[in-house]
Order: sequence, then structure tokens, then C-alpha cells
Amino acid sequence: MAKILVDVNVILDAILNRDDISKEVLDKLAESQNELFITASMVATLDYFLTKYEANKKEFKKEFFNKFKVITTSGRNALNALDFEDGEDALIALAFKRIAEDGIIITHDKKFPSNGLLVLTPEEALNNHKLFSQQNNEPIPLLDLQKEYRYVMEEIDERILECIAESKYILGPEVSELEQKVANYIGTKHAIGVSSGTDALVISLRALAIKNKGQEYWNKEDFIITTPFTFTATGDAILRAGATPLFVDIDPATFNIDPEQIKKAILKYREKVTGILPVHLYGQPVNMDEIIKIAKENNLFVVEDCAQSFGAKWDGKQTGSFGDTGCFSFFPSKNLGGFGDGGMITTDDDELAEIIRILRKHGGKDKYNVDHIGYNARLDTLQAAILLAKISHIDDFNNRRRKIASFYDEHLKEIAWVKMSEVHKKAYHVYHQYTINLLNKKRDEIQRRLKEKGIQTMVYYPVTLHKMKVFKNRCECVGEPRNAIEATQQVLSLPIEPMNGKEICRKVVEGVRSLG
Amino acid sequence: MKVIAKRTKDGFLIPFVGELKNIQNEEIEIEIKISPFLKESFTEKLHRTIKKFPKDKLNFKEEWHKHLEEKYSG
Repeated sequence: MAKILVDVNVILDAILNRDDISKEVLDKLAESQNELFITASMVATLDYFLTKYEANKKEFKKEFFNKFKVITTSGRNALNALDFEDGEDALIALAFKRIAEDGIIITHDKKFPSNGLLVLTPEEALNNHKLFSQQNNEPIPLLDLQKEYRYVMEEIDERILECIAESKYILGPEVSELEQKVANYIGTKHAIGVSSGTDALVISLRALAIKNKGQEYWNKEDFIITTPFTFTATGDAILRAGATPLFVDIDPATFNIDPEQIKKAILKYREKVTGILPVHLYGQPVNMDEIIKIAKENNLFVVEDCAQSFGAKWDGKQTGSFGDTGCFSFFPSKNLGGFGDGGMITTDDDELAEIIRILRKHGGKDKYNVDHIGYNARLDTLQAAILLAKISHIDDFNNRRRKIASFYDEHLKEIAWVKMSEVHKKAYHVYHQYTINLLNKKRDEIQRRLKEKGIQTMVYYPVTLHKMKVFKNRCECVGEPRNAIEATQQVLSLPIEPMNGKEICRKVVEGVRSLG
Repeated sequence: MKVIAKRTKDGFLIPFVGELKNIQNEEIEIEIKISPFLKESFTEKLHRTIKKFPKDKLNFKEEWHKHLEEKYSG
């Protein structure tokens, strides 16, 4: 799967029917898995000829840019291009090389100043079977963030450049625009941008302490029920809010917290329990009918950890819209990921929303005269700008993840040593991870052998929270969470990059099946 | 036997196939099944958006530079 820039002379020869080889190569490239590019600087030339030959530019644009991405040509590229004899073509190569160190240029001009990139004529390209082979021998990473960037490149570059030109870096207009979009998407009254998913959890819990208890932090005697099979931030946030995590076991079929275990914990600890913090792990929603019912019956708050579940739904309703708050992460690898840390809190509660806004900005409406112990935890404007470019693609990306998961389900289901998670009929899973259980197999050995086949895998998570040093003497457990412990020993996550085509998924499946 | 027919502006061009029976006859019968879902190729779609076509052989780069010279030389 190569990154290929096609020169204007080849494009024109192909579409004006002047050269069969150019036509064939362009048609084959358009049908292949390769990524196709032109640079912004090439558009002027293309436009001249489109005008000259009376093209319907609107139609041309729609068809052509369905396959080709446009690379931003920067001012620095332009300055450097002047060092070359043919500055015009050098500008193309310099811009292309920025995003494709291993890129290929297809042109009729063998003297193209390629800046070290491989240059092929259309005929050479046609004879280069690797370019059109269905077989992919490149390693398959769990995620390919560069590929995702290239897919949304034009929108992201534009948003970033506009944001920088505007220079409103702290709570700029992009933050409120994103907040409005997320609130609309999730279906809540408020969405408040914060600096990370972890801070979303901490600030939510702190805001609930201020609102419900009239104090800055929870007490150690206040227990918040959560899962021990999650990222450390979930339990850590409870500690940072002053409360005690009360870990209950998971349902091994879904990896999510088991509502029956929550009921047992409430029976045991009664009025000490103040809230529930369910985690929609791997993108699969927790059974929110049960969670909300238990919370209402016992007068408990619910803070949803939606770090992995942007776009996931329970019974048609978005995760993050059930609890007192929903806490999202925009960590780069997330389904909706920024280019750094970021997070969002959703809520329908006006009072909570106001406290959250105060806490994220040093603890006061007036930052020079504050009321609460606050944080410097705002969402960066630049991150918001990037997320605005990406949010319009979230449903497409989640659908792609779901298709990959469905392909894996279909092709792995008959392997005796692979146990797949179950998806509840009310759950719309968005597969932040596609995670399987390995039965009676040495996981390290499986990982090593898959790595030899070029397939990257990860273990989320190798240790339960209650066994970590940080939680020693700082947490409570309702018995030994055996299912969670077993999951830490058996789980393995497979590549789930939404841009991966069927051939890559087939290679993953064949890799797993070949292990016997 | 699989025969690849290329699309031309007059229709599909059936290539000469040596293994056909009665190939020496003036007329031969070939059964052709064309899928109703046969889709236009990428370049065909783009070609359809263009109204005029150059008659002579052109060097696009030279043509482009000539245009720039005319545009900016006043």
C-alpha cells in the first residue's frame, strides 16, 4: 500500500484519452489500496487545462477528489523549492515528501526533482506488480494514526492554519463550537471541554462533591463503585477526588462491570456507597438500564467513563447521556482522537455544568478571586480545531471499525481457543478495541508469533487496578474479582485501524488461524 | 474462454481470438454477456466531464509555461 503522487501530465494524458498506458495506470491506481495525492501547488496547472478543455469542474472535482487527497504546500516548501533548478516541480516533491518519506511519484518527466523519492514513468508503474498486488507484506500496526491523518488532511490542515492565524489559543471559538457539536451529537444540554479524559473524571467527581455534599472533596468513607478491569485513570480519578474506589467484578462475556456485583456491593457497604462509575470498555456500552435503575433505587450518582465509547449507544441512546455526567477522552488513539490530550464532560445538569466550568478554569468565575480548589484543565483551542475536522467523520470511522469487527467475528468464531466477547442486543459497540480471550494458550507466545507475522497486538489490561501499588490500602473489593483477574491473563487486542481494508483484515485473520 | 473487450467510443472492441472455431469465416458468432452493473472506470468518469479535446500532440508543461509567460509578460 504505497503513497503515490501522480503528475498533472499523466492525469491529463489519461483523462483526455491521449495515452492508453496513463489511462490504465490511473484506473488501476484508483481501484487499488494505494493512497493517491496531488499537491495544492499542482491545482493551478490542472485548473488551467480544465478551463481550456471546458471541463465541468464541479463534476470533475467530485470524481477526482473522491480518490485523490490534496497535500498542503507550505511557505517553507516554497522557499526551499527556490534552491532547485526546477522550483515548480521541486515544490511538489518537497510538499509530498513531508507526508510520504517513502512516497512514489508517477510522471512522464524522468528528470523530475524528486528530492530522493522514487520516480516512475506510467509504464514502469504498470509493470511494478507490487503497486497493484493484493498481498500486503508490510507490518500491520494496531492503529495507523498517520494514515488517519492523511484521510482527513485537507480539513485538519485548514482548521489548524485558521486557528493559528486567529491566535485565540485559550478557550477560543473552536472550543465552544466543538462543545456545541458534541452536546448535539451526544444529546445532552451541556458539553464542556477539558484537558483530558482523566481530568474529565476528576472534575466530574469533584463537581459532584461540591454539589451533593457541599465540600471540595469526597471523604475516604465515601465509596464509588467501579470496575477493576480498566485503565488506571478510572480508579485514580476516584482517589484524586478524595473518595475510595470500591471494585466489583466484571461480566466475563462483555468485560464490563457486572450489575449483579454492584447490587452485592451496595448490600454490603450500604450508605457508604455514594456513586457508580461504569466504564464502557473497548467501546461496548455497559447495561445502562440496570445501572440507572440501581442508581435511582439507591440514590447514587452515575459518572460514565466514556473514554473509549464516543459514538457508542445503549438502546439507541448515546453513552454519556445516561449519567449525571459523561466523561470522554480525545487521546490520539481514541475513536475521536486529537493530536495530544483532550477531553469532554457531557451533562444535562445546569448546576453541575457551571461548577465544572469553574473547576476547569482555576476554580473561580473570576480567576483572580476564586471560590474552589480548581485546575488548569481547559481543552486547548488547537485540539478543538483538529477535533472539529475529525468529528464529521466519526460515524464513518465507527462504521469502519464495526465492519472490521464483524469480519473478525465471522472468521475467528470457529477457532476453539479464541473466545469472543458477547455484544448485548441493545448495545451499539464502536470497537475502540477488538479484544479476544485466549483459552488454554500462552498469550506471550501468541503475541510473539503474531509479531513475527507482522501483526501487532496489545494487552489491555495486564493488571487489575486493585492489585496495583497505588490502590493498596486505598481501595475496597467485594471479594476477589476473579473474572477481571482472568481477563488480565487472557485478553488480546487485534489491529482495528478503521482505514484498514479487507486484505489487511484477512491477513490478521489468517495469522491468528495459522497458530493452530 | 475469457475474452477481454475494451470500451471504445463506438462500443466494446472484441479482440481477435485465434482459438475460436470457424475463424476463417466472414462472420462468426460470439455470445457476449455484459453485466448490467458494469461500471465506468475512474478515467472514463473524468473524461465524461470534459467537452473539448486537444487535436495535436501537446507537451502540457510547455503549454502551461507558455500560458504563464503570456499571462505575466503583460
